[in-house]
Amino acid sequence: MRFVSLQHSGFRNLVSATLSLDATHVIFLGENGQGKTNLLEALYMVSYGTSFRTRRTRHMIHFSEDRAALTVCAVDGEQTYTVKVAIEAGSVRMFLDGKEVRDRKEVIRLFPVIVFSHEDIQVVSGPPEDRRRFFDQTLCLYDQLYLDDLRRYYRVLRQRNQAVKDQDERLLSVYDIQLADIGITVCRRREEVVEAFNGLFPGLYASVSGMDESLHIRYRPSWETRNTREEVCRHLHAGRDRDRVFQTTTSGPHRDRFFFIARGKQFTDTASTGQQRLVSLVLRSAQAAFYRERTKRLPVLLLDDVLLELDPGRRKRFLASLTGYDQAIFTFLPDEEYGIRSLSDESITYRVAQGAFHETFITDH
Amino acid sequence: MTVLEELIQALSRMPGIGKKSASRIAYHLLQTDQELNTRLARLIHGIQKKIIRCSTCGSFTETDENPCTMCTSPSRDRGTLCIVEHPQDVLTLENTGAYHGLYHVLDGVISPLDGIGPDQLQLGKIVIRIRESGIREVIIATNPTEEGDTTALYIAHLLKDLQVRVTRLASGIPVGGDIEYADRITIARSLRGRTELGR
Repeated sequence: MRFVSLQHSGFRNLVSATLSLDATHVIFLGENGQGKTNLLEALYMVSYGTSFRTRRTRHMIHFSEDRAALTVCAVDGEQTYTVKVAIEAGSVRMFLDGKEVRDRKEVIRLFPVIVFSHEDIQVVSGPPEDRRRFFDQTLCLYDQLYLDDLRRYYRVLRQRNQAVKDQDERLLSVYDIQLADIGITVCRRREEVVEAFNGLFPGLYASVSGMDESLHIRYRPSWETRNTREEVCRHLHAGRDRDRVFQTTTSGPHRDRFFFIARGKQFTDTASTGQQRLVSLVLRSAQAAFYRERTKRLPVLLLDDVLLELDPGRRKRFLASLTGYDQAIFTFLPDEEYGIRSLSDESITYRVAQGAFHETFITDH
Repeated sequence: MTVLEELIQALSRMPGIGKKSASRIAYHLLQTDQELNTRLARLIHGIQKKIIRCSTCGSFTETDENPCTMCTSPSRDRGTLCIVEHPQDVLTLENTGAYHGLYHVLDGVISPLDGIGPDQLQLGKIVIRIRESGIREVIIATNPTEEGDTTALYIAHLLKDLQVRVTRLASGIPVGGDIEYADRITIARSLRGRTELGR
């Protein structure tokens, strides 16, 4: 799948325009605050119906406008798709080929987009929740049933938490069974994804970092060694006093942990910011590789200011390591032009200033 | 506010009726026979007095038929009890013509987040009904939602010491539907809940 063009109006600071994106590499060059990331956000919006930066729709609309509209054309083999997103304060409506989309899952399936963003460092150094979200997202990208299971799990969890607060013992046994059944499925899928990642990630990391340090991921489920409904129910039952004290369900996939392990130790304890940044980038590469492996389809990569904080050698090796995509769309600072030359085959480059885009041609000096 | 506007506003509070449909209905009522309006007004006015909940099963019945005709009918299978969420579910099941047993209306599903626990539902009565009558099978027909599952499991627990078979409605691909057009989650879940074919 690749984006062919984007028409945008009223979106953040962008000056309404239609941009051609019809190339394997699309590059946006500009200083900070000019609108590079806004454009990537617009592409993410048409793929997911949500933003990777904000939940407030008002923030996505230009301050002097009431609404924003994005229309993207994309091709996938012989197929052409048009997705339109209409954003108003408090509402986002999506249309696929003119028909309103009821469940955004339908578009996610068609437009596999992976974003490399600055905030990804949280996946490495942030709270456990950010790692859970990363691996959940990895699974949801290709498996709607996992997304369905996850939604059901959290729904039952919220009900159980309320029953804990209400001290309704009668209901806890029922919720334990439901939580165990859905939770065990979630854990198995997470185990699978970590196993698959450990076949992809360490090699990618070693080649980009230039260090032959074996970095792998360890999954530690909250229900460790409890694999059957009965075992989990016994565990949940034994934890009820603790649940009562904390007024919440204290074990389950919502408390699962993921660790990065190098030489038998937790990597994040000693890693520098630069190393953490690199791990987060390579995780996204692995996410793309995993998607490719599972679906036999090529994703679109959106890479936002990814070269920051990397030393020159790693910048080069990281760009070289990106393979297996239908399209990659980059934002760079103006002094990062050198990075682009390695992407020069079939590319369009835009200079971005004050929300406006001008096509430009980069030449070697 | 004019009388017409007031009528439109009242009509638009009906389920499935938006502002547009409400004004269409209002203008229709304005121009139709006075007789229809009088009849409608009389029916609407009396509905809550004349239709009550059956004291046995909880479905709707008329004041002079309590317990309802389904509860008292000698031709129905008195050994099977179907538990549904809402009174309107009884009508849905009746219209299939495939079920001839008795009903029990819960009046909702267990959802602590909405403040609904077992005590807010007509659950206590079920055990008494089963004990006092010769019910051999209980069919739980709650919706296939998380809350419907919780309620079904809870009922199963409640009945586990009684000599009664407890079943749940199957869920999966709609009959006459084309797999191609069924939504993916339905298909995926149906795959999980697939059944053995007799050989």
